[in-house]
Amino acid sequence: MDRLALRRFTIRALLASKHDGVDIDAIGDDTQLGSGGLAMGSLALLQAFVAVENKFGIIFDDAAVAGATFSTVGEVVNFVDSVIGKRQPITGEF
Amino acid sequence: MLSGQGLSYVRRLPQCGSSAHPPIVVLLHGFALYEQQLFDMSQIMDPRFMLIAPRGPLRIGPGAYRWFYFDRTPGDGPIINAAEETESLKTLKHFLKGVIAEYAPSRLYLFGHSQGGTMALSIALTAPDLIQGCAQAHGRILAKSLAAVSDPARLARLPFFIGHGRDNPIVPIKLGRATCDRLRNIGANVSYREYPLGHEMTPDIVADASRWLTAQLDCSI
Repeated sequence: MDRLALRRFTIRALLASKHDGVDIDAIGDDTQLGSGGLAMGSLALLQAFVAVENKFGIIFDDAAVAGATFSTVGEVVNFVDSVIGKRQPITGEF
Repeated sequence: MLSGQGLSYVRRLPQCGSSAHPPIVVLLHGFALYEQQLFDMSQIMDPRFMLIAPRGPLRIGPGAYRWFYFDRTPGDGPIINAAEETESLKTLKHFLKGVIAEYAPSRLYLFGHSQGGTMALSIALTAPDLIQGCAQAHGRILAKSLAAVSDPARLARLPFFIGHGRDNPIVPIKLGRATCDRLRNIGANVSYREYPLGHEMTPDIVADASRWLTAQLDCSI
């Protein structure tokens, strides 16, 4: 999966708990996860991580996730990319 | 990370004193957390203690585990998933018996945060013979555990430390006070403190619990 596809999948996972028709193309890296943005709770963020785990057959490191601060969509995408990217070459265009 | 008796756990050996029968504090983390945070905060505890921090048996996601699910309600506290709570309590009792069998501790205390505090209280109420004291913050007594008290006389001899946030949005302060009242009504010796906090565990609470645990240990020698 290239980076753009990975980004899109991660954003879809973040939006999975949203039922109000958020337009994925309106989501930018600087979109806030909390108030003023997606208004996600911490459990919804965890569910997004689990969706990524299930998709790629990985288990995120407990300490890495618990020790990180995720405020924006871009921070989540970059974190997922940093883990998935170690497993397979990224072939997408930038 | 060690594993045994159905739960994985991290451990700190006693830093001084005899290790033949060390006093042990078992640390029980809260919902959507994991063992390492409370374990790290508890390193200030008396060096005579062995610290054991098991991980809740049910995974929510990375770095987030639980003893049971719950639904939040406005005002009256969470409604728990009783089946998960029952199974986790059984697993935790099995774990504590394993700790006792393996380390033969001179004293065994619990220190729990939030849902871990509720689990600690449930152990105290339903299996008081397993422990010599119970410290917890932001947890509460479950009605089913209170109904299952089988040895009030034994429970009355058990010391408790209870800390609770006055602005707790998840387990309201009235539940913290009710927990204190119910234990005192049974005759238990309860040290109760309120904090200008919400639901979080803070160094202040750990320090208070730590002093209380040291005092319990010193009283027992």
